[in-house]
Amino acid sequence: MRDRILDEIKIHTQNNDYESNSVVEVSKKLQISRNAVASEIRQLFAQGKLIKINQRPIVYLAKEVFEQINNQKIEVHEVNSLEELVSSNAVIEKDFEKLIGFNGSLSELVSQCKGTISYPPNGLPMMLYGPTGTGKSYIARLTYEYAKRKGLLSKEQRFISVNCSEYANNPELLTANLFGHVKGAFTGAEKDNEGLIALSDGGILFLDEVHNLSPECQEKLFQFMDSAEYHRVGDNENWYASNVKLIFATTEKPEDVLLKTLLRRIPMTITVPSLKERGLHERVELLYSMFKTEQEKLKKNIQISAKAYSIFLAYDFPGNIGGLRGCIQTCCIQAMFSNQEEDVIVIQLHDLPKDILESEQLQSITTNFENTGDIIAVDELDSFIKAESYIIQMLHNVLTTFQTHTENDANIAEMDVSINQNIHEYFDKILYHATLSTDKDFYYKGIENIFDMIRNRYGLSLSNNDILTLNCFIMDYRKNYISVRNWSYKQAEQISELLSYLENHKYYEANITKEITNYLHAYLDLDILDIVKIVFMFYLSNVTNHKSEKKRLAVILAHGFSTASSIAEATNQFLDTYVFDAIDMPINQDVQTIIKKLNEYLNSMGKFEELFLLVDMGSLEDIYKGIQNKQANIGIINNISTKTALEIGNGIIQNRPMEDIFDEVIQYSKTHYHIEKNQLKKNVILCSCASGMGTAEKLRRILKDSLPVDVPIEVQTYNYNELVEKGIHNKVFTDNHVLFIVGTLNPNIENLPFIPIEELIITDSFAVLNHELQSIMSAEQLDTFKKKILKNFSLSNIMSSLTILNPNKLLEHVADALDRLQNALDKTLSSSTCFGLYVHISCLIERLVMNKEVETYLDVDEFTKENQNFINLVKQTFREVEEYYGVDISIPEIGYIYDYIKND
Amino acid sequence: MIQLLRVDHRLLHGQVAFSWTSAVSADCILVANDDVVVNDLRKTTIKLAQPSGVKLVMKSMKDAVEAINSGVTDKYKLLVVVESIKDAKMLVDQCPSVKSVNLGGTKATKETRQISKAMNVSTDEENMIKEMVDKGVEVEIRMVPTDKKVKAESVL
Repeated sequence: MRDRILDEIKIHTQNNDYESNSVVEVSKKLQISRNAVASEIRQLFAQGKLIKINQRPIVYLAKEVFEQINNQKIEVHEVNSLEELVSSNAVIEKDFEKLIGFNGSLSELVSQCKGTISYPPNGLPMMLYGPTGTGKSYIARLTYEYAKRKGLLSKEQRFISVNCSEYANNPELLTANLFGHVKGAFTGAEKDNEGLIALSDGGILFLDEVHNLSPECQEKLFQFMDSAEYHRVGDNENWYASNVKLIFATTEKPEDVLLKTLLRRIPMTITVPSLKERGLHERVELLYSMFKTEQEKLKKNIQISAKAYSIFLAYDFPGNIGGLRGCIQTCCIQAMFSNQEEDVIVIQLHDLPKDILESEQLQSITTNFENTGDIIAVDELDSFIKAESYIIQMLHNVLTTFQTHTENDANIAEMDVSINQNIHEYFDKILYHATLSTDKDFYYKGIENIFDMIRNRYGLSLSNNDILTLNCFIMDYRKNYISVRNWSYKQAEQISELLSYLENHKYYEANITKEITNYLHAYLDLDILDIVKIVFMFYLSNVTNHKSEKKRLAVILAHGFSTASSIAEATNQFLDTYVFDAIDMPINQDVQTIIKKLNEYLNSMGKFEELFLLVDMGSLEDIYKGIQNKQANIGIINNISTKTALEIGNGIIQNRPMEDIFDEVIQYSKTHYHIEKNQLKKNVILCSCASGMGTAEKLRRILKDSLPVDVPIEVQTYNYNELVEKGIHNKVFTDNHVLFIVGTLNPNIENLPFIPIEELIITDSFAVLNHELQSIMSAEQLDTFKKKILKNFSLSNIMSSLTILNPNKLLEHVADALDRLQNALDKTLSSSTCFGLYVHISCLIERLVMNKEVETYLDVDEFTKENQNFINLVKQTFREVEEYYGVDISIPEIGYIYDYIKND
Repeated sequence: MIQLLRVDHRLLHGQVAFSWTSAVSADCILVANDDVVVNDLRKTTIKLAQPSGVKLVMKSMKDAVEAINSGVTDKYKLLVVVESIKDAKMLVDQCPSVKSVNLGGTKATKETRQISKAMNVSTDEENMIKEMVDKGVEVEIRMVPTDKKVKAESVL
């Protein structure tokens, strides 16, 4: 039973279906009583076969399976959540965690390596590009370990490394070693050789110094990369396959040294940073790890003189990490000989290699030194590494200082001083350690430009040295971004408290900082965390000189969460000068709070002579009454908008008197309105005839009477000449949605369809009509509409021709009869024939009623003989009409109807 | 060359179009009327009645007179349609080439009396007919071509 339970748990662990591993679920599944399952599981747990997750309900994982899945030993037995289990795993050094800087300057590189090698389905080839000695081989090795742990490699899982530079003089040999060769392929090939590609099948083949590959070999390689198949050297018949993942490394720019065809097949080029690009903290870590290794080898403690230490720290070793390690080893050997007897080796300046001591670089490093007598023990470095980096230390100090001051209610000026002290101590440190390269990189130049721009716009007294300092700060922040971010998550509450405090007390600096942050983000894609903004604000408060110079202040106050600050920001940008500060008044804040804010702001601004208050409305209009400062003139203006703010801002810049500025604003701030009546626009068909409004009106009536009742279209007449003259600017077009114009002559209005009357009535294809109306009418309605147009048009004609009969009634009858006739003849008459017959037959009926029938036809007898069928049909279909009007349609009259239909 | 000058208050409609054009083998119909040229709706109506293969021209009375007298219409076998006796009289008076008038139909009003099935004339119009007849112009009443010609003077 126990085994069954364990197997069940194993299966669910394998499937990540942890929920099914509770006592209840297992008992259900296996049909074993809950008590029994619980007891067995307790036993299994005691044997260490299960990991217990104390959530509700408690679930268990099979330890063995879980270890297999994650490819590592699990030390814990009981955790509170699955997340905890996973994160406790992450602490164990796996692969990349061994890399110094994996969570610092190399964090991006690490995720690139991981992403590339695990890219589905088989991973992608990658290129490591970086100067010599930066750890490319090590990174390739770690990538292999990562892939192995993740189960991405199959079979033998080998990591084979080839340094192509070793074959620089014999490229054919390299090709043969890579792809294998057959016996006798070249002199010295005494037997078949599988080649490295075959050997590393299922694993990783690392090709270092790949710029030494011959073009032929590169060609062979990319062919292999395309098809995973290759020929051995000397055998062009057999194909060999290998599933190997390739990692390349080079110190040369790949584009310059490799065939484009090969490069195209390496989608990922990962740049490995040089030593000088690594942060100070990481350099110390590297130093510590290297000296530690030497200590273990020599079994002696090592100490370093301060001078030598700073060279290790600051010297730009051409061989990078490798160079540094070489230098350290040389020093250790050197020092060991001179201190043979003692347990402690002290590395002095003179132990360093001559070429370093003689280099020009050294001049700039040594001049920075002060306490030259100090000796640093290697083991002490450990505490430095474990300690937070300088930037975190500083940020931490800033926060603590803020807290102690707020708790003790100490004055603001004092807090400012001590926080600035914290910041400057830090700046001194990073400047001291700064490894300044002569070629300024992309970021450096970008940051320099941004601060240059800010300096000009706000008239800041930022010296070039200040910009250099800020640049170093941002560089340091970049290098330590991840740790700063993690740290600031933990301090989120205090940080936001300090930030909102500063936003209320350092308006000016807060606004400048906001702009700087925006630029850094937009141009350099730098994510500036709140805590960093705080540092900016403090730093800027030393270099802003508004306090002494600004004699006129301008503040915008408005209701709404950020209305005032938005207007101020926009206006300042328009003016390209910092003129306005803003105080927002969220709807739920009362005026007293705003007055308090305003007074705090004014106090922070020092002495000023004039204050411009720009408010929106309501209680804010009286806000000047609450201002404590009675030394300055206060001008207040309401109904603030961006436009008025702009004009006032301009006035302030031009230094015009307050009253003049206000007067002019009032004069020009008129409100205009325009209503674009889109919503209320009616659909309109326009009738317009060149021959005058009479025709247009008749046309309008025909269309109006023809429109189905519930269709929302209005028919209007419009003066043709005005249409031609004013075109689209006629009022009718602004007030309505005109569908099309019907008339005799096209007024040629842009984008407006025109339908000539004849087309509306005669043409059987109503393309324009269909197109314009299909969104408003159903197909059925449209059809009725068209038929009724024809009928109503006929009606308007009949009216003028008839004397005694009611034309409406008569036309109804005639139309019905004609429909029947068409059916009987199985024929659809054209619109024009229909129209002609409507009118003709209507007139005919009246003639008959008045006894004025036509008695003659060309040849009545012949017609009767030849068209008896037609005569019968007419008689049949018109019987109703004949009976209604008491008439008899004579043969000659039928003859004339026949003529119409014949001519159709 | 004018084949027929017809007075019909409906101007051109199917009956005229089919029966008369073929009866007089006209190849061009001239509708002479002052209203039609400015009344688009009426113009459309007339266009609707245009038989195929026959040219249709609509002119004001003045233009019609000019056209007929200038000789541009000579090459056509012309069927001229006017609305009223008054208009017919104008053509008779101003165009020497008009030698005959067909009275097709006029509408009955308070001032008119019926002189045939389709013809209703006022006293003024009677006088006009007389004047035309006196000039030596033939004025006959026929609704359709197959009707027997009735001399107007015989029914006055």
